[in-house]
Amino acid sequence: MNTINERTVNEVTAIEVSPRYTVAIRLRVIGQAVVVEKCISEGPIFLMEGGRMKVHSQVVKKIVHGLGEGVKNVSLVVNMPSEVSFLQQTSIGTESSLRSEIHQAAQLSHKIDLTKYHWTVTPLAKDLDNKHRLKEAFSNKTSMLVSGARREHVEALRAAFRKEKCAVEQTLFPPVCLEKAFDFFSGNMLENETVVLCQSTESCFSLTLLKKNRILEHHIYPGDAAGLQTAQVLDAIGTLQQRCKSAIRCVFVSGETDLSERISSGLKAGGCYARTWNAIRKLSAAPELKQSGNYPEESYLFNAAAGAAMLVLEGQARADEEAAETALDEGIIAQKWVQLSAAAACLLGMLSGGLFFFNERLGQEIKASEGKLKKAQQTVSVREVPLESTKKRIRELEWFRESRRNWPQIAVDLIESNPWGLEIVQVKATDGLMLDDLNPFDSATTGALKRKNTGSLLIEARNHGGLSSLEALRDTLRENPRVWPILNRKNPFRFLNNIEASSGQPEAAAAALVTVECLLEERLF
Amino acid sequence: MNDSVKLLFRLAPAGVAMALMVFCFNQGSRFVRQGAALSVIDGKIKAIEKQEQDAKEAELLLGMEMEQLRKHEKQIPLVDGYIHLSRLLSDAASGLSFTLAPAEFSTHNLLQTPEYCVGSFRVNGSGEFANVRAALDRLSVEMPFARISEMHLFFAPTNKNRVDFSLSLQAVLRFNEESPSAPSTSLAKRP
Repeated sequence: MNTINERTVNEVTAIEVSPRYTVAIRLRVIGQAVVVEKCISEGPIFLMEGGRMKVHSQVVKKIVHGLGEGVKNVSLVVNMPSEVSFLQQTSIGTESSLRSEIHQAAQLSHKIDLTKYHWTVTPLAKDLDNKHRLKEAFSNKTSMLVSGARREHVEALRAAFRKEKCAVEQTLFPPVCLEKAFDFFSGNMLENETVVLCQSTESCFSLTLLKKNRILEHHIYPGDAAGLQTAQVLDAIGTLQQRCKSAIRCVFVSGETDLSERISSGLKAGGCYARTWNAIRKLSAAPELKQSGNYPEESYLFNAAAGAAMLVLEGQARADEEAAETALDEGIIAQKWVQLSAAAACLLGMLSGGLFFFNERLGQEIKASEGKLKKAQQTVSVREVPLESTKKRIRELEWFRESRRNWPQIAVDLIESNPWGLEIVQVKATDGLMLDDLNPFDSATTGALKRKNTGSLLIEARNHGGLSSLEALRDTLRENPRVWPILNRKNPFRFLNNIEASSGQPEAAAAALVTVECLLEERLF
Repeated sequence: MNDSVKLLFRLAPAGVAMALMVFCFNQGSRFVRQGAALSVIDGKIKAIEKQEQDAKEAELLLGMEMEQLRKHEKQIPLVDGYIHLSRLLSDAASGLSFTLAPAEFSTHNLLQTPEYCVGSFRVNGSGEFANVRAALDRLSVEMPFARISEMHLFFAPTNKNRVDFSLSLQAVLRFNEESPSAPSTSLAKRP
């Protein structure tokens, strides 16, 4: 059940176009109050001329002027004998698929060509609470009321109003307006009941079965209003009751007052609870309208008021839908935010869990590693090996061994070389191994001790061959592979004896006893 | 109340996410810290393992070196090597007559190793030159860590094979069998 939002102010103008009259009504809905601001009753718009319906432009002019200059848009409620109306059960898809489906249904089951009609489709079993429910309704089998009037009549009406600088906003049909008006005016008293709306017109009457505010059945029965029998209506209602398999709580009869009263009383006499449509009594006329005396009989207002009610409800529904959409959007945003947050929380949770797990494992690994490290440190500290000192000892011993010179072999070499004219008397070799000067800046423990060996080789021999023998000795020393490498490079040897020169002899002769001193090359270790 | 509960429910995941983010950051920094600590410890362990490996190799090397040292030390007489040397010389050349003076020790020890010292032996004598040479050759083989620091050969004018000799032998001596670190006699004073 739709409720009117108190904050909204709706102003609607509906014009009922009937074969016998034209009623224009302008409603203003302020909160719970529905105030009739303007109400104009005129003769019929359509006139028969030469077997064809034609628009009476004077009536249109009067109505537009009567409504006032402020009215630029009107809605028409076309209540003509040529109108068609049927209930169609179909799923609501896209607009084009819906159209094609309804066309097929109209051509096959109702035997009418909808291309010649201006028609409206009203999804009835929909709930406009929010988008989700609407979507659900659209995806399910949904009933919709297809109503239409001759396209040529509707277009002629539009042209006539356009001529008076007034646009036709939409074209409605009584069955839809009836349901909406019931919804609007009956309140929530009968929202869970099964009711029948009965509408009588000049040429026919229609029955609409509503169960829990949903149209389940809609039928149009032919029958002249003057000759309409209540038994005929009761039969039709009985058939409907059998079909819906539930007891009909009320029958509401609408239409012209005398006709309605007659049907209502007839139905009451037949044992059915029926009443005339009195919802229009909820309307309150504006004071100036009442004073003017132009307030027509209420029954005439029915269809126009119903159309206006539908417009009000549509506006209300649109506002509700927009509000619902806004709320839905906010809800969706909030839901998305929650979903995102939850997803982020899940991800972070997993990440944190993983990190926590890894950290725990790392902690254990660190503990194990620390223990291992401690143990290893203890082991290593115990196992220091005196390799360097051992090496040092070996090095020193080997150095000492390497510093030896084979003096006996050198002596043997000198004797065996036997330079011509020389007779070796004595050989003296000194090979002093000593420490070099200590560097006072080096500590003794750092191995700063440097060693050197110095010395000399003294050879004393008797010379029988003169200078040539000396030369031979010199050559012997130079050629000896053991002696020459150890001699001082700059001053390898020197003769210590004087060379004697006797007067009268052309060449000098060496002394009889020759001493050669060979200085050894200093070697550092 | 209803709205506040709704708001609470909407904000709850965000709050949880925030708390988890803080926790995650904390765990992340802990992970980094622990990773660094673990790598440091691993580095230390690796260094110690390498050290241990080096120590093992050093032990192996030390064994070889010790073997070498043992071989060397077998050829080094004890610090009271006077008898050993005199016997060696006597055995080497039976035809030689010589006198062997006890070892003299310089205050400047030529060796830094505290287990060893260098003693100088003075040998004077006479004999066949071939015997002297043979004795010295044997000495160089038997005592590889002894060197002739001074040699004086005086050949007889009449018989060139006969020689008077005077030698100064510097020999490495060790203080005891086990090669302890400290010298046990007063002769082995370090400079």
